[in-house]
Amino acid sequence: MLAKTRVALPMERIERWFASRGWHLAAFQKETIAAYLAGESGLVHAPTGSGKTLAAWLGPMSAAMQNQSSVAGLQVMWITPLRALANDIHRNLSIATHALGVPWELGLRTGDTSSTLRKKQREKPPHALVTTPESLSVMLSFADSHEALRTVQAVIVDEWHELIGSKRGVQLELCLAHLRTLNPRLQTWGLSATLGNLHEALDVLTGPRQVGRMIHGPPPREVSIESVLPPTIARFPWAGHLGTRLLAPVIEAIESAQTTLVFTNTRSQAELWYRAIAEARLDWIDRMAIHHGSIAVVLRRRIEAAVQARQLKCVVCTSSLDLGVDFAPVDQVLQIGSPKGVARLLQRAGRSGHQPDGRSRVLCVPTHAFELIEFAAARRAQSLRRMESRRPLRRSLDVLLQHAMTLAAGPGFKADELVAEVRGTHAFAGLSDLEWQWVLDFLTRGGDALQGYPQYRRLDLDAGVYRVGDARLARLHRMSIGTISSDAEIAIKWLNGSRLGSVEESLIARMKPGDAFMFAGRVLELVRVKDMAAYVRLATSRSGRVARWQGGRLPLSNELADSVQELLALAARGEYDQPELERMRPLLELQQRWSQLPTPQLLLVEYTKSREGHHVFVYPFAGRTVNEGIATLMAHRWAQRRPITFSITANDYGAELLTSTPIEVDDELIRELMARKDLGADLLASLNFSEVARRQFRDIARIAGLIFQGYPGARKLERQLQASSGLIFDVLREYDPRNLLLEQARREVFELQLEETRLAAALAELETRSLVIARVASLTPLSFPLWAERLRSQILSTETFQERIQRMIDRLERRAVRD
Amino acid sequence: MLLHPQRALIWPARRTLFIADLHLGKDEVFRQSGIAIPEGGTPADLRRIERLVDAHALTSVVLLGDFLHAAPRGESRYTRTFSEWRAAHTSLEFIVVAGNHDRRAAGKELVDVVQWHLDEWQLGPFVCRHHPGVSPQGQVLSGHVHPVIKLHGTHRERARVPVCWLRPGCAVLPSFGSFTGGGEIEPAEDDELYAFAADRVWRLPRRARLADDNTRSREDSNR
Repeated sequence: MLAKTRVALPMERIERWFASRGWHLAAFQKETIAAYLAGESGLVHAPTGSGKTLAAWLGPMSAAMQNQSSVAGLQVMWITPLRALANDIHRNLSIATHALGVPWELGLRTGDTSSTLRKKQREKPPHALVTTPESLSVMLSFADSHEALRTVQAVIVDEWHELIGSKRGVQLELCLAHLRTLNPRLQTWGLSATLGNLHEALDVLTGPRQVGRMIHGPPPREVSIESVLPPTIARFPWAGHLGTRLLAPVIEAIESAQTTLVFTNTRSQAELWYRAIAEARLDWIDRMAIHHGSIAVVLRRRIEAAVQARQLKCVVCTSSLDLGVDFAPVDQVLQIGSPKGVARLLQRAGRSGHQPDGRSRVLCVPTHAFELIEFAAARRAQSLRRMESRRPLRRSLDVLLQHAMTLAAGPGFKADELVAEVRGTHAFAGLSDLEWQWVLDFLTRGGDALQGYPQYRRLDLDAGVYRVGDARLARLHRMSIGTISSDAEIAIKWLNGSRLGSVEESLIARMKPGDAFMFAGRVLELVRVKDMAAYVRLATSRSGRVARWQGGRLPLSNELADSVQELLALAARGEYDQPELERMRPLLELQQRWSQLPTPQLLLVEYTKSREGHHVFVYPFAGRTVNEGIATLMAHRWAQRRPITFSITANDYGAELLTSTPIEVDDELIRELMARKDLGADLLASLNFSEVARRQFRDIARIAGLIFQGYPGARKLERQLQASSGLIFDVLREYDPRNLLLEQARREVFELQLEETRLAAALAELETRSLVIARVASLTPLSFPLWAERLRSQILSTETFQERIQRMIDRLERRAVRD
Repeated sequence: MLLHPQRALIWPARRTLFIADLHLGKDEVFRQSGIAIPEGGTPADLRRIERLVDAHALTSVVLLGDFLHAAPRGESRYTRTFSEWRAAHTSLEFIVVAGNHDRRAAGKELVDVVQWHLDEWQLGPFVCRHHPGVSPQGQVLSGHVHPVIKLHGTHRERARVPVCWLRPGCAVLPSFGSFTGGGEIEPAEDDELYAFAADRVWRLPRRARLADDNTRSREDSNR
């Protein structure tokens, strides 16, 4: 009986508060509270706006209300993947805490937090702390934090689906494992939007030694996916991704709504569309904004506040607004260009305030013809409940090296204790003794047991405890904690010094003072570059080059690619039952006339000759990574027969192999090139010819601490520590080929870039299809986008380096003569 | 004068080897700062010099600046390695024109085994210095910029190759050290370029436009 009254009291208070706000405590919220009070861990899966933040917070709140005596020390950590969200979360949690009368102090700690406040937090920790994975990691690098972290009862990981497939997720797994060592009864709760692999997500969160509880919120509301149809497909571009061809209907749509979010896929695209809309509607200029990851944080916060205050007609944005608190005033969401994934499109649609009929809507705007099919495919995937998965990473030694270094900078670690802790994570459950020994060797000696590096010093071993001996090293390490890849960025500032945002250094490096470029929706003139900042003023000209940012374009998800192929199969049978398909009919019929429509039963290969050379197009529809892998494999096997160089371009539908050497194509050859036999060996061999592993090494080198990233005010001494990852890769390959980070780069290429398992499955599946080789006179609607994408192609060659250089110089010479 | 594929310039008449930007001990500087770069580069680079000297019966080495990556800190292996190497090649003259990286070491370190020149140094018609520029005293031989250009093949194929950059009155040598990067240069139309790749020196056509037309965006083009 006693237990019951103790539980009833907090529940009553919660229900009373809910009632006062006109809310109703949902079943999944009750379930989460009960599970929390029972000491369990788990994952709450519910759509945006359904109250999952509260569900997770009410658990610790109930425990606090039950516990009459006041507690001291940090109780709960709330981890959010985005610094930008931390403020809002902090505010919302504070409101709930006050309303329930829990006398807790709530802290906030992100990269933006001042060092005085951080120090204060370390000395007298609040009861709960809202923070990011990186900030948690930095906390672990201070010896005095560890005592404070012992009192933590629960960690709540918000937007876990955003972290799980990345190295940030691995980093968080390691931090959680350490918190579990400090408090073995630690409860871990995750909040997630819909994922194809929710159960795996839960297991990764709690680690393999625990069984967590899965709690489902209300089913997601169906989103109505509509498309702006170009008036005629004949004059609509077949490829590209920036086109503003449909500006007029977009403006019309914005006109009709109170506040519109216009989502684009890249920052460059956002800049272009902002400009186009602003020029068409000068009267909106004060009520429009552009929001993306390179815009200064202060400006972004101002824009978000303006949305809440209903001051904006439209915001052109990128994934920077995918996540976040509800924007009640937003009543329309537009998606410019490919949806890329079902989950992503639905998440974006969910950013609009909910319609009276309870449905979210998203209006999709194609920038080229095939995106129309992708919108229809997204609708199909939603109705079939197909959802993307995010696969957790394993054995990321770079992250482990960073984490071990973090702990060594803090209280230090004992090898046997740390390895046991680390093996308690999903990511490193299979860590071998050999790998662990190498990690220790790397941190203490540089190379493995056979090859220590002279004059190397990173960790010291003192009475069985590994520590960072050098305070300067510890400081440098703290500054480089984090796993998100980023290139050197240069700040964009007005002449008076106020900050507009940042762009990649490479853009500015190509410019001279006086040149104009587009940024933050304005045309800016570069005045001078000084101390890692580019000073600008408004340009007098109205056009400039668009700032380009690196960062690969997102591939179309498998779920969408499958759906696209099924729709094409319907079209091949003459069934055009979606409005988008009907509008594309002339184009699809042209494809059918000139070549064929690929279907799930048919493997299409197109061959054509042009001024550029001989083109072979294959369409496995296996997603861009696998398509690229298949093409790489084919090129490699082809090149085994004779010296030949291919340029390989892949997209989500297929891949192009282009060579200047004359080739013959027949069924037998294609089948042989695509055979499953010797797949692993051939893939590995094909990698030797390419630079992929070297490129993959870039992030690894940075995370593992091989690249020291400069920071503002870095002294000369630190500037002497700059070397490119490519150079380091070459040096390691030459002088320490057994270095496991090289092996990791190869493995990441194999698993992440080529997705060998899926590739093998795809080849097996393609064997069952009938093969059609279409010899075509020119590019087809399907091959044209590949041709146009060649900017992003890869080279695979069995020619010697000397032959390649010779060819390039010959080419220069021909050009010189022509000039 | 002879350009050698090992990124060096040889003057047979005076049996002299010109190299620039050795950055000796750079790997060690990294290691001392806790960055795990294997050893091997330093002895390998000295072996490269040795082979050039032997093959062409040279008597002098002129290093056009950035001999050392940084002034040695504490117990330094690479200065010892270098001294030992010098002891085995006592008849060889080793002249160093100080570069920006040598600032703190020039005239103080390794003074017994190399001949430091803090500013410029004239050798026959040549003005040896670190930073490129022109001089009324003669033809300048320099380093410092680690010149590299990007060659383009058909489609997206690219290769970054070190070059010797001949400007009017001034030659800029590529960096010799194996643990050194490079910076892409923007040569003027009349500049001459020699590329070092695949164990050969390649003369690049003059006036060739190095930027590639294929790299311009073809997006949004309609058929």
